[in-house]
Amino acid sequence: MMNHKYSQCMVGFGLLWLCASFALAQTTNARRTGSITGRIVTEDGVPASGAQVFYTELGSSRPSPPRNVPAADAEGNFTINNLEARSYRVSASLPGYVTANEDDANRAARLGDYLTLQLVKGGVITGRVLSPRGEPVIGTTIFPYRVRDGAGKATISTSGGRAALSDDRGVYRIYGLFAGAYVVATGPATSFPGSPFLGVAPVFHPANTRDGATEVVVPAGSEVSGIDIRYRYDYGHTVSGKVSGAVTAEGARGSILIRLTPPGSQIMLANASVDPSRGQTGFELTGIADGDYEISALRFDRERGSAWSAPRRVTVRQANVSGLELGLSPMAVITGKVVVEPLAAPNAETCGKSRQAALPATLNEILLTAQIVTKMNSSNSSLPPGFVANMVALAEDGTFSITSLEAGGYRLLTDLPGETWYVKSLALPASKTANAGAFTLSAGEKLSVVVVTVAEGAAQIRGKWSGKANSATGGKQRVHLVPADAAVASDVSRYYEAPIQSDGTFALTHLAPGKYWLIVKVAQPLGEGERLVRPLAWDATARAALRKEAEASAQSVELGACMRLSDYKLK
Amino acid sequence: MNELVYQTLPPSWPLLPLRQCWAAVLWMLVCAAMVGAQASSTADQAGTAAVSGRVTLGGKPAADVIVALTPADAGEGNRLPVARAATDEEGRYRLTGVAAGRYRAQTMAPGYVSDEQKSDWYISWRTINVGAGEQIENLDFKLTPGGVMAGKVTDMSGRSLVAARLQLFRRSANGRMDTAPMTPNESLMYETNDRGEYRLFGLMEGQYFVAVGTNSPAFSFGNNFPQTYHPGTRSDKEAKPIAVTPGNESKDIDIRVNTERPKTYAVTARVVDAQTNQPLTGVEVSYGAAREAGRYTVAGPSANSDTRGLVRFEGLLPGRYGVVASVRSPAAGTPAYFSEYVPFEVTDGAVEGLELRASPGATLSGIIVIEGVTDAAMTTSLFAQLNGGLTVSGFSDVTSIGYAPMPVPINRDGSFRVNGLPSSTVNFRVEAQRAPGFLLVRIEADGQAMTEGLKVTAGQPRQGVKLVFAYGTAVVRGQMQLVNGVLPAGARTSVNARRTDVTNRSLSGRFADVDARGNFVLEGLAAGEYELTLSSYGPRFATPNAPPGAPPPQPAPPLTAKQKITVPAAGEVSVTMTLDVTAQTNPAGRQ
Repeated sequence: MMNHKYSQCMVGFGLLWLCASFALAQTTNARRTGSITGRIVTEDGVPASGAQVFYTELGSSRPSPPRNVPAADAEGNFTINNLEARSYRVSASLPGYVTANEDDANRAARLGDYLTLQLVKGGVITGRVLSPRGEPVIGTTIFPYRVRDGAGKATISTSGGRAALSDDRGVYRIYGLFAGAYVVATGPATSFPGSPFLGVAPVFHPANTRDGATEVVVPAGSEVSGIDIRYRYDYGHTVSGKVSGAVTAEGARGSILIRLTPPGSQIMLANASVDPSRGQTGFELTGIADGDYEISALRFDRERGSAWSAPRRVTVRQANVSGLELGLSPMAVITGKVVVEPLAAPNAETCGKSRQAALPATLNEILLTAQIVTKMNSSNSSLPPGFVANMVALAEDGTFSITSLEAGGYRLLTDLPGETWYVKSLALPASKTANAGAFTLSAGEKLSVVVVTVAEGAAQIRGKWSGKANSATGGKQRVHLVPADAAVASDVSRYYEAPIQSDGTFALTHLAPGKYWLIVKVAQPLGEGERLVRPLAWDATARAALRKEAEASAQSVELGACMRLSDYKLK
Repeated sequence: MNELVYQTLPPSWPLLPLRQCWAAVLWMLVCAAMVGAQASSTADQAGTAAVSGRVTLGGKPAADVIVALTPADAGEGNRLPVARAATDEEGRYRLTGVAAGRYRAQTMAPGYVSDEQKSDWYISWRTINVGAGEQIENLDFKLTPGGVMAGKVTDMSGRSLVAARLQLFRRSANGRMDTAPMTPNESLMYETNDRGEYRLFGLMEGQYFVAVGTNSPAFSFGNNFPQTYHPGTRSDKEAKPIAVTPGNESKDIDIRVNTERPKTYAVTARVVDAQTNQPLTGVEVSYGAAREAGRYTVAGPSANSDTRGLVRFEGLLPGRYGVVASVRSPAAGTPAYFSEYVPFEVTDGAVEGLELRASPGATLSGIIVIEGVTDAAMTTSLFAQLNGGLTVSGFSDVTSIGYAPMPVPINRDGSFRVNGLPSSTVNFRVEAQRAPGFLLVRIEADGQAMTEGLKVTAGQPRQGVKLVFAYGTAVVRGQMQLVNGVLPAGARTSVNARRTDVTNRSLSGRFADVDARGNFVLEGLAAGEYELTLSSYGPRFATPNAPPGAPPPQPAPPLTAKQKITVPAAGEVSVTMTLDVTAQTNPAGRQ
């Protein structure tokens, strides 16, 4: 029963999660409580009157569903009041529309921020679901699964669009889709018990399992029709077994999610949940067509740490698969703290702000992200979409704990509020000091204590690039700030980069004082399954090349504490 | 998504506080409908029985229709078919390998209406008792194409409203609009697409009203305009009924919506401990619109009280509401808390200063007695059997809001104790699958046998309650015989066995559905004299061709038949009950 309820609810939540991107246009200093304001526009800059605004606290150990505020007014303006000093994700939703920039979904908004959220018309896929006799198949649910983004790159991110139901003519219509390539399938059925489609293996357009599915390319805002599905009642086989190992945790409640996906994919073809705290360990997945799959199990507990069974291959060939044992082991954890560097000379580097007033709010607004750089588990199907446990906010005392990490190579990213702070140093335990701030977590490793030191007196550069984007490559330009001081040449935290907007503007903030070179480069494409641009300096070879290139570019800047360059002309 | 269904149900059916989504709501309602059904204890695992028949569509063979058997006594979430098959070109189906037991036989044909259909989209079934190895033939189903209603939803300037939620209301046989919208199995159908179009299909014939939007604050996101009925009115009195006939499309059922957002107001409430007056933190507070005087629905938005005990809700339209605080699933070592329901009215300003005085839930304790059993070892064994199968649920007398069943743990000596109950009239139930053969026949409190339900009040212990159970293994096998006619299609017939010495009206007796062949089986009865009441309910909705404004027909009372039988201590007894179909209008037949 939970599955049905969950799935039905998720359909609803799909609406809530239609996120809009935003650009930070202006920031002011943080206060204890305050508001976030902004404006929602559609592609032509027309105010999106009536668009809904949602916000959710980022990095909370007890995430709550997005909360909504009164819809945008006739001018598209909105206000979120009575917010505590924390980091938030703010998103906008207008049925049929999608966010203009998907990769900003995890950008933090903080008190006093003014956001411009842009929405664009989503795409449409329509077609009919027909029986082998050519009769309409009525009342089955069709899901869009996006496999490539608008640039043709493999993606695991959300489709934007919601499922649709075939009507009495067999016709379905899915709308509000991001640009990209999709596979479209009838299932897995989330229908109410009593539906003939429960336990039937999903059928992909045009008439196949996932392997034989034809991709449907949806250009931005376009309608693609005739995407018919030839339906058949294939009850498939069952895949069953039990979970073992770290199935329960002290004080943990809740269940273990078992997911079956095509290899290397996020498409959940079947799922089950078992609740060991109620004596359940066995699971059975039904309606599995012949084919190769990956199965994984996850007990997600952000607070106390999760456990999982990494994806493993299952092959179904004309028979049920039983007796699988999915052994759960704890996931890796990073604990540490953020410390604020004592002031050498009082008031010297506070940029004219009252430090005492800003400090508590600052700590509450800092976000830390454990960004995976190299995956040890080769599969992209490992964790469910939207699994963003790797971003945390600090506790009141500045400590943090990032749980639920899979084994792999990581870097720690710090997202700072306000204007006056910069990351001075990152201290890893002695065993992890090699490789310029990158470190490796083995399965279940508990890494402590990581110390991030932040200091006041950050500089910033805002300005405009006079160059012209090379549209032939389809890439976006980014400005890079490279330390000129050879002593910090291998300190990744001294390398900064930021996107150049379509109007040529850019903003580099939270910069450590010092001398830098500037250079503009085309952004690297996102890695397989990645949602964030990976900084160029993370790779030692690329970093060395970048530094060399930057030095040759002969654009340099000397940044003093609190210096604000507001009209920098970038070549 | 957050709406409590407030539906007219027989008083013994629990109303549950549901704030998830429609699917869950419907699931729970069907669950509720199942309460009282008895477990079939016989099951040959191998399964050699077969069920076959024919499915016709408008009198012609219907091919490719899935027919399935699902276990009648399973919870709704476990209602996966034990057997299913598609019909062939002659419309024939055959389900094999069926174990003995009680099942629902049903066609699974969305878009079509079965002759067994009771009220909703493709949820229809016949109960069928299958004996070991039995070959049941000619279990036929008649389908008709469902009706279709289609239209467009626009604002006053003709702009399409995308993803607007629709609500469909039946027009009852008494001519009125049902108070609750139909609960959609497929919520996706009840929504406009990106062109503002909707298409509702698979509808039973009848008369309907269709609306978009909602006045419930629970829906203060999405397309949150006030509820507007076809063709474009906020008044249910001015809503235009739509006739739906089988296989026909009622086109252009458009709705024009004034999307202007009315002014809304905020409400602030404070949760305090009723004893200490100290603010309570982290208590869930939810509010809802008042549906009628003294009756409330907690529809939804909920928030936890902050460190000052405060919660604040925004976006309330003028109207009457109620608010309540509760901690239903407290952390270990902390009590459940419940407040009384506090009504309030929003007129033209923010509502401040509401105080929710919360108390730890009521404690109910006492002793279980098994009637007529004196042997100590036997008593202990029966207590152990009953433990885990006995639950307590209830609903508030003020709000009619119910809560889900909570287990009643029973000690070896028969004593029991339940903590954390909200103020309510409680109902005890025995889950027959876990503890077959137990029937609650008497409740004693304060030394007296009670004639109605037991009330508990949060913050006040209720001690010394005595629950007297009868235990037995006797089985009554019955056959219904119809005289002077047949039952209307879609009639639902069940039998209730009530011991004649049970005077407490809140105790329900033993129920069983009368199956497709007129059979019923009542299991787990103790010796005694019983009155069997057979009741058959007909359809309750207006026909499509009833002229508007015509005097509405009264909902038909159930057809009933009563019979007294004596049940032995063990073994089986057979009974035949005769139902006179001409007794339809006999008011004495009403229960």
